[in-house]
Amino acid sequence: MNIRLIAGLTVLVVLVVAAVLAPWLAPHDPMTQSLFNQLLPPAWLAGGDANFLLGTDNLGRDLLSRLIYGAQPALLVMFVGATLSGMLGVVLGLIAGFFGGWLDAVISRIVDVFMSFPPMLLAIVLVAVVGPGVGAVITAIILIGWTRSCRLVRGEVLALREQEFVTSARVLGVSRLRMIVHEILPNLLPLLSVLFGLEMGRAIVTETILSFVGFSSSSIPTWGSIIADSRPYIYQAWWAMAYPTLVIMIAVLGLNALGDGLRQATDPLARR
Amino acid sequence: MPALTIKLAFSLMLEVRGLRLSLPDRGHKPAFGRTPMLEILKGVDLSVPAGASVGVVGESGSGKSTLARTLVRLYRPTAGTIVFDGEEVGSLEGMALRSLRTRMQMVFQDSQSALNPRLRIGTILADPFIVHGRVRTTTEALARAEALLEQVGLSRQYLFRYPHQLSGGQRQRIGIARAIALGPRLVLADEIVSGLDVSVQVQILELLSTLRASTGMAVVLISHDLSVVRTFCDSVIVMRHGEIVEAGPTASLFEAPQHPYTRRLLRAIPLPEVDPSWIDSVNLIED
Repeated sequence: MNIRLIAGLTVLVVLVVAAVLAPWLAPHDPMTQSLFNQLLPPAWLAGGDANFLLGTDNLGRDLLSRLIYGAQPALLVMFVGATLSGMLGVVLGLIAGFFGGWLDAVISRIVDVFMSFPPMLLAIVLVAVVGPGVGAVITAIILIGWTRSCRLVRGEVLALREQEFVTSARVLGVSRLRMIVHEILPNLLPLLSVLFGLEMGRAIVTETILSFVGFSSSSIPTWGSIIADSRPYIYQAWWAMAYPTLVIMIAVLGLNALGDGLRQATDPLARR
Repeated sequence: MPALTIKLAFSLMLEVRGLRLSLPDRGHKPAFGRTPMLEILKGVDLSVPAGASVGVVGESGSGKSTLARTLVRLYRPTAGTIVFDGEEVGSLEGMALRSLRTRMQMVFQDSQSALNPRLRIGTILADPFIVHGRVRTTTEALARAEALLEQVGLSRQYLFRYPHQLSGGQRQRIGIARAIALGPRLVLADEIVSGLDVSVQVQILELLSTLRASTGMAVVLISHDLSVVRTFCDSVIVMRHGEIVEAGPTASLFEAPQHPYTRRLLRAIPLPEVDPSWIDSVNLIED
């Protein structure tokens, strides 16, 4: 049994269901303020209201509804961010590793430059230039994330290139493109699935941090902005910060497990 | 004797003259400036008649593998000529080089690394037909792959296996199958039986002999194991430090080696020397 794959898929399915069915699942509108119900504790604590299962924030908005709606931007950011940053990194890493020479030198130096720059600072500068919003957050995730996949893929391709099945493909007269697609790429699958899981998790964390410093979208509740909004009230209402943090942790852990599980599932050496 | 020369040139399928190869010596790469070049092949002459089997022996580092890799044009010779079927192939590029790939093939030493671990045997064996446009559909390619499997003595169920599910000997059969897929005139076999059990070695060499007889292809067998070369090859060349020290028909080279290096190599063959009285000295009953 592939426990990681099952756990990861469960988390992913829950996220997708929450995002898609948010209007039907959420008991309240996530933006509706109710000044009579400010900072209500979760229902099971003293002073809690069964109407607001996880309590409310400082403006009396229902925390559970906000968390459910927060799955929408989270999914968008993690899928689009991880896919695009992964694709950019994989393509450049493949080129650098496979062709070597000056192409490798140029790509590797660009990676060095990007990596030497504090990633969060890079993201903040970018969002400041482009303006806040989900698009800017995704762009930031791509700019930060591609270097990691590029470097990992490059190293893996360098090792694969020396394997004799690549040499034998050359002796068979296989074209370079076919060699990359047909011989190298299938061998990158385990690495790519782990990488994709990690990058999806990182995307959520990056979004949280950017929200926390106020650079994400303000029109829809994101998990990061819920944490940021609740920070001043941490001593009166810990739950408003604790639950979104918990949700983020479970999501990130689940996505990492998903990547690991996929690696096991796609590795022919693992299933004998 | 011009007539004899012409006749020889005609019957020789592969004729290598003064082959030299220098590669960058990465072990001595300086921090700045050019990487020094290291000459690995220092003027090799080699003749392979059509359908023949030629052995190349020598210690590791003698340049035998590099010779094979240069012949299949994984490297471009620094100097010298490689005439294959009347065509100089040492400087071929692009489409002409691709056409050479169908006529000259190679089997690799490490069958584990020579087969892509993520592709099924069927995919690996269908590849040559697809790459060179010999088939129109995948089904057709798989049928050809199945026929190849049969040729190397494996059943069709192996089409759906992965390389790691096969034994070393079976993997080497797949390596041979892939090499003969396009019907080459010459197959270079680089240490293909080293690392296999002796009984499996014999089976693989027998398979190669059978295929050679049935297809009329020539085989260049590279080995450090002289007994392997002795049973399989018509003629032998002995290499040392990138040069040929001795060449000749197998029988005469093994009977009367001329060069001192060859004599030393022959003396190094381990022979089963067992004194029949040895059994008496063993205490079979433990007290």
